[in-house]
Amino acid sequence: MAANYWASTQRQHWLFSRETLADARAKLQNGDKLAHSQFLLPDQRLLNIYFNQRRSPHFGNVSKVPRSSSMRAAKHAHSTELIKLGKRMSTRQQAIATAQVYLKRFYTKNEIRQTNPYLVLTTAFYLACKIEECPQHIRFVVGEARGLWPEFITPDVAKLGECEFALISEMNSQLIVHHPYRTLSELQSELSLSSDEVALAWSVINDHYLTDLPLLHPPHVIAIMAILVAVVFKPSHPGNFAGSAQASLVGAMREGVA
Amino acid sequence: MSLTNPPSSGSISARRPGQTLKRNLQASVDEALDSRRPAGYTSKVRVRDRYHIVGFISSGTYGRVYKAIGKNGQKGEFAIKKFKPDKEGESIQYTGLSQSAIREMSLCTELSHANVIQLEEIILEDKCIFMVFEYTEHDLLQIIHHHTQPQRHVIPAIMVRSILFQLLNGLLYLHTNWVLHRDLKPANILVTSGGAIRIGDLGLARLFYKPLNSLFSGDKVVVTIWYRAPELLLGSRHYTPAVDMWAVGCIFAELLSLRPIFKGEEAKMDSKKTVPFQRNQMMKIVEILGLPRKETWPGLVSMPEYSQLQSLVLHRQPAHFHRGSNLEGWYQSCLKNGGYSATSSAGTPGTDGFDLLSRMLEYDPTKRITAQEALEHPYFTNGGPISPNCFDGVEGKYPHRRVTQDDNDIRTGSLPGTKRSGLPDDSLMRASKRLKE
Repeated sequence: MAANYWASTQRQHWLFSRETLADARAKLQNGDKLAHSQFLLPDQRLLNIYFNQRRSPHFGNVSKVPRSSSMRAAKHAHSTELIKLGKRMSTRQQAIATAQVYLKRFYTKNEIRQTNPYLVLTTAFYLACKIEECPQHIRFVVGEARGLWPEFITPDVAKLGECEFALISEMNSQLIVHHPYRTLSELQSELSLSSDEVALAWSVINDHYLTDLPLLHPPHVIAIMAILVAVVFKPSHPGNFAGSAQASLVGAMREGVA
Repeated sequence: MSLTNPPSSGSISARRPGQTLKRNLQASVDEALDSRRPAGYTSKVRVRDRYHIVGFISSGTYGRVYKAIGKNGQKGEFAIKKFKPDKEGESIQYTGLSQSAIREMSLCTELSHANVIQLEEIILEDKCIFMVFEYTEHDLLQIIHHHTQPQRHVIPAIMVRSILFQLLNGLLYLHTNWVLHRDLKPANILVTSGGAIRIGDLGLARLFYKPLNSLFSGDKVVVTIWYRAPELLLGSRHYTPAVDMWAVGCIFAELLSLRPIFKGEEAKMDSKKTVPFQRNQMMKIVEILGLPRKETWPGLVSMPEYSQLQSLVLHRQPAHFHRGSNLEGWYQSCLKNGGYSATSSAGTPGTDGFDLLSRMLEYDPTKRITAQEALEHPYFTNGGPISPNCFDGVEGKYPHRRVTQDDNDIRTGSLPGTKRSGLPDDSLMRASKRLKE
């Protein structure tokens, strides 16, 4: 159901436990051991730098980069690259968030080393814009993506169109994504959140798309956590941390985070 | 930006002359499947392996619908909607899926209700999308048509009541899930051989929960002209589920009178793609309901086309313009002409039926009855139980859906289609329309 998370395909098919997610990734790795031994992917932090500097020609030849086999890393890097594309095209955050979820879903079923991640992320972006009702012309999307990654995106729009088929097919046409933003705005007045707190919670939600959390928790849980984080760590009242109740909560949270 | 596939009467003829249209049916599906490429995307599931195509049902702006039966353990009959690449003979390229296809695929995947068409699966194969639906033997357009042949004989009141109830029930489900249908009309209301109503064709449907862009900016034109609500005709930028309720009112009236109640002529979009004021359609409504007035519809004056409405009044001033609504007169003569009465075999929708109709055809969208309220209306609560089979207690049989054996039997019908907007990459500039007999 489109408005009801509980009956949604997101809850039925795209909510993982940490174990099932790890299993899915292990399966991909076992399915293609050769590629995994040949093409090592760096850890998240380094890969992010790597991607942002965009020096190296291809994912496949990253042996120079410090070794790590974190599959997740690549997706995090995608997210930042994706944000770049979204910013460049001044796209609404919700569409970018949907694209980020598409990428995560796609790479639970597909080996990243067998794909062109730049094409996949551009396609996820193009498709997400349509589903969020802020469509962009395919030529425009391809043009902008080529501006960012000329080595990886060909001018042929058919490539993106073909990748769209693969993306939709892998997601079983389950394209409607429920986001925490909605819960946040619904709870805003109920919890009398200040606009600062809402803004902070909003950016916490934005950041959670850089992690596996969207695959692990329902959106309303993420929203509540983002609100909690925003209220507790409110930057405008640093002195508050000295307060007793809040201090212990902060302590507990920091322990939890650490 | 709205590049539409206008349902012009030129329609199917957009094909090149001289091109042979006689094609084996299976071939038309196979054609796409046979274009082998060395690498790239290939479907894990193949349409041909799962379904046997037995005939062609209809075509529209989106593509074509075929009747199929399941193969290899897959039981039953199906309707397969094949989207796009129907530029026969030309090599097909991936061009990006249309907004309409994306909406229908994503919504149908999420939705599940007894009165909404059931999607079986979606197969993306060789540049085509095949949406596989349950097969429905009838639709309201076909049923209405049947009642005009060979001479007019009304649809029994009990059947109208069951149809309307099921339709509203499905619509309530859509609306509670923040889905606007935006193209309700008899052709899109499907009926199974067991008399169950299924709301079909969600190609224009979309979510309306806090849209990122206004609904208007997404699709400048929605709803087939005869079923288009007055707020849409008057250019409203924001609209609500009430647009669907207006269409249900029009369908209710049409089930009783066997003719579209507001059968206007559509003004075509000009070359600049500006949306024209639908003067003729507005006139048809005014002729029966009288002019909308700001006293009873406060939002009227802020409608973008309000000045157009006023000019309508200035230029022509027939007497009925200044009368109030004559819907009751229309209703009474409809019952009388059709032979609806408490003593006749057809029965009668009675005064409750009129009250419900008048609340659906309420000018002010904020006052128009909702699906929920309509289901609790005396028209349904008074009187006997409502059967989930609309054919219950109805004599006579309806003809089966026409299924033709090849593709070239496409004639241009006389029904206006719905303009589907989208971006240039998705508009198959071919204008074609739903064809019905």
